[in-house]
Amino acid sequence: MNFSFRSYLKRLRSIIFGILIIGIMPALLFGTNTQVEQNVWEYSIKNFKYPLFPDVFEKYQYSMTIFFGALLIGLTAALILTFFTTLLPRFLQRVVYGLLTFFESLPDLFIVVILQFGIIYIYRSSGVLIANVTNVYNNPIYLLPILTLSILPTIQLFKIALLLMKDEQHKPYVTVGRAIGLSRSYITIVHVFRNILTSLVQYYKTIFVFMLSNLFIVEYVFNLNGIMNILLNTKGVAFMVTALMIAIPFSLLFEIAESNTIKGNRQEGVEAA
Amino acid sequence: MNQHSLQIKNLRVSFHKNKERTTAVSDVSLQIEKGQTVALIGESGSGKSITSLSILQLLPPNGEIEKGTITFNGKELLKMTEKEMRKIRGNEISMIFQDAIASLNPGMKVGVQITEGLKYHKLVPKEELKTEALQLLEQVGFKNPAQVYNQYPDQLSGGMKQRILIAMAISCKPKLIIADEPTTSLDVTIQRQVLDLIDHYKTDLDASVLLITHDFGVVAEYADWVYVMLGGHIVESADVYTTFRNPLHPYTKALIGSIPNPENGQERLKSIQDYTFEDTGYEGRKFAPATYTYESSSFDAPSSLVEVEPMHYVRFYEDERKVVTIG
Amino acid sequence: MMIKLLKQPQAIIGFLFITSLLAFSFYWPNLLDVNKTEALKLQDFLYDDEGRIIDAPPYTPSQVPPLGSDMFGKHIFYQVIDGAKYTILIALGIALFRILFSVGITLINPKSNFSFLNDIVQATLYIPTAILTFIFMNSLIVKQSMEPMSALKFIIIQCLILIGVGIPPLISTFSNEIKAILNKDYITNTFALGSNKVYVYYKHVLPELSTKLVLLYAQQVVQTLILMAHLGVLAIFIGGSAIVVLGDIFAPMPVAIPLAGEWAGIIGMNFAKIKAAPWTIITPLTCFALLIFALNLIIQGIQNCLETNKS
Repeated sequence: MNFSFRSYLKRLRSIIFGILIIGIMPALLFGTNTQVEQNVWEYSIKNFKYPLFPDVFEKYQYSMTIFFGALLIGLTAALILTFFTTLLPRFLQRVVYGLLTFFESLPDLFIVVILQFGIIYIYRSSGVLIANVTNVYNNPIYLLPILTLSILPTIQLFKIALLLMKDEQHKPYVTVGRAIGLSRSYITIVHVFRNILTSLVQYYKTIFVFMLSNLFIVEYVFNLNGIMNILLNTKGVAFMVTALMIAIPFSLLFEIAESNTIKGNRQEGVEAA
Repeated sequence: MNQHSLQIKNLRVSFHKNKERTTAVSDVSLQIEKGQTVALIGESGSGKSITSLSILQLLPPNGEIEKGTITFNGKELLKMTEKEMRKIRGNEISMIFQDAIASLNPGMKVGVQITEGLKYHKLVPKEELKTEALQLLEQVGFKNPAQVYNQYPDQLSGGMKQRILIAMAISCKPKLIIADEPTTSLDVTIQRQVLDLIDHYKTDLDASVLLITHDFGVVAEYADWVYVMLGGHIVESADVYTTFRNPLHPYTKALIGSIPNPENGQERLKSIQDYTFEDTGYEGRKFAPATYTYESSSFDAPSSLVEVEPMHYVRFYEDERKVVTIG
Repeated sequence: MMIKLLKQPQAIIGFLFITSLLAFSFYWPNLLDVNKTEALKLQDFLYDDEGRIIDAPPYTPSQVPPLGSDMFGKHIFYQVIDGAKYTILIALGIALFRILFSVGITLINPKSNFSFLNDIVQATLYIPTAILTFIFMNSLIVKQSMEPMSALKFIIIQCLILIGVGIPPLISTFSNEIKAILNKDYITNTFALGSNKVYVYYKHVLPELSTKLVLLYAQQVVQTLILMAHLGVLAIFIGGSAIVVLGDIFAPMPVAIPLAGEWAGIIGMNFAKIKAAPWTIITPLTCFALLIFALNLIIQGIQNCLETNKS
């Protein structure tokens, strides 16, 4: 850990400034008259107006639960799948890799719609409701959004982990491990997985940003009342405040992760020099 | 009494890639006796490392042992299951690799890595692992074992990493150590330290060492017996004194000739390519291979090792016994 | 590089898929031998053989083969095929302009840190692009409703928004990329041998960047497509929309219908009907997925090329 609070403040300043620019820009470009009709601390969904506070905290918590639940499930599923894939014969591994490239191409919207429709279809034809597809009043749904949101990160992480695994398994230390009599699965679990996990951290930014975008689509299609829905339906100051609520904790995570990976890189640089 | 610690007979290893078959080791027989250091010398690509990997059956997935036997203390290794082999590896035969820098897991503390073998083979109870690791670190010459124990491989120098690898290899007190060019990636100044460590371990535990190298200087100092390898074949084998006093095969002569000799400093140092094989013969027999090439075609004609004097073997062609020697 | 790309079968398959889809989209009335206006006309009711009304739209795929119709009775199949050309061309064009503008801006001042743009990039990480675009598009629509503007102007502004949203991250990518190239030893070497800046950019930086540009371009096309699909769901249509009131007199239901026929519009127009007529959404979405997959095949091929170049 060599997290420096100063560099985080610098980044935060940059973010706040950026959000300010984004928040003001539409008004600048298309005239200020677009926002007068609305109270600053309100957001509107389908012509109904709601106060931003304290609603936003509850929605925020709800969205974050879905986000991190999906992240956790995605990571676990990806690692488990990677482990079982390495046990497969080589040509099957290639098939799995090809399938992943295909699934990776599916737009998030496609997956969300297909899942929603699939569940409705199963419900209609067999009467089994696997999960609630939309929010019932005051009773937010968790299972389906979390699962839906976790699908694409799982595929991405799975693919990255497979690639890393391929690299890692040909490193000399694996042979050394086998030469002192360790079994293949022991080496895979104790050595290879440990190293893959640290390498996966490098991809956190892509995955997080990607998942935030997915979260929005999941919330919109399932009609969940989450933070992204508020972000979509607010303007001006309220928009900036909501965006900052998302940006502050995530940028903190990024800063911590970044300061640690940079440290690792620096060490390698010293070794190479 | 024929008490060989390790005996390899007619080993043949090939690799297949895209349905093409390449033979890396075509006919290697060697034996290592208890307490001996045996050197396997040859240039890169001659099949030395493949031979050593075959002993532990750690060949890459596209490699295959086609023929031959490998016996260790009377047990046939090639017929063992993977599970039985795991008990041999590290426990009875262990290996030191050439690329020390990449051979340690960068994400794991050195001390933990050293004792992994012990932990896995359940030789030492868990509580004693740390003391055992510290002892091993001291044994391989670290003055501050407690500090090194908590370090990561990136924080160590090349020579230190190689010593860690040695500590790993000797942790289970194996009876045979295969040292695959243990000093190649190291500074010349550290070479001696590393080789001495291996030698001390050998004398202390009365173990044997298979030293794979391309450096005749190292061979002269540490080995008891020498096998010279070329293109997947053993071309000459003798004890270390005979090899240096009376090398017969032109390739061996060439290798020895390429060691700089301070006494005739005026002469240009010869490279292997400077030697021609063609018109040489020995007692009417023709050396195999007749030319120095990388192509395996030069080994196509049947050849075999012949005992030219007691305990001194040289490879000759089988049929073309008579050679027209010029002059 | 192009010759090497020809040796990548997946890239060729992807390329052929897109070009043939494009060609089919332009010439389908001739190829399928149907009248275009006839195929895309509104069909109020379905009649059986004797002229009786059987059903009102939307029709299921079994009623109106092959893919059913939307709530105006328009054939989804023909709509999708006809919309393909708009979708592909819009995405290709927007991605092209994104790349061109950002390379241009970066090259004007390559050493600059673009701290102003960097702030925006930092902020946009946490705001999904779809929301960002929505904010701008929504303001535009509000403005248009108050002071009407010509359709062409409207479309151009929409495209500028779509282009502009992608530019800040691209500029930061490019400036990092160019800085990395300028830091390479051989560039220092060229400067040491006395060449001037323009020469170095022209001879060394741009060629090295060009392979990367092709890759980035393909990725930008994919991102534009995804963004378009998202905007479609949010009922923002490129080319504008008209509000049509559906439903009966007692429960009027205003529905926005896109004026251009691209796929995102089809999705957005039918999004409210997802539970009643899922085929209206799933068909264009599947097309999006296939198109993106074809693009990913090309990207994969380019990446393979780059890797073999390295080794």
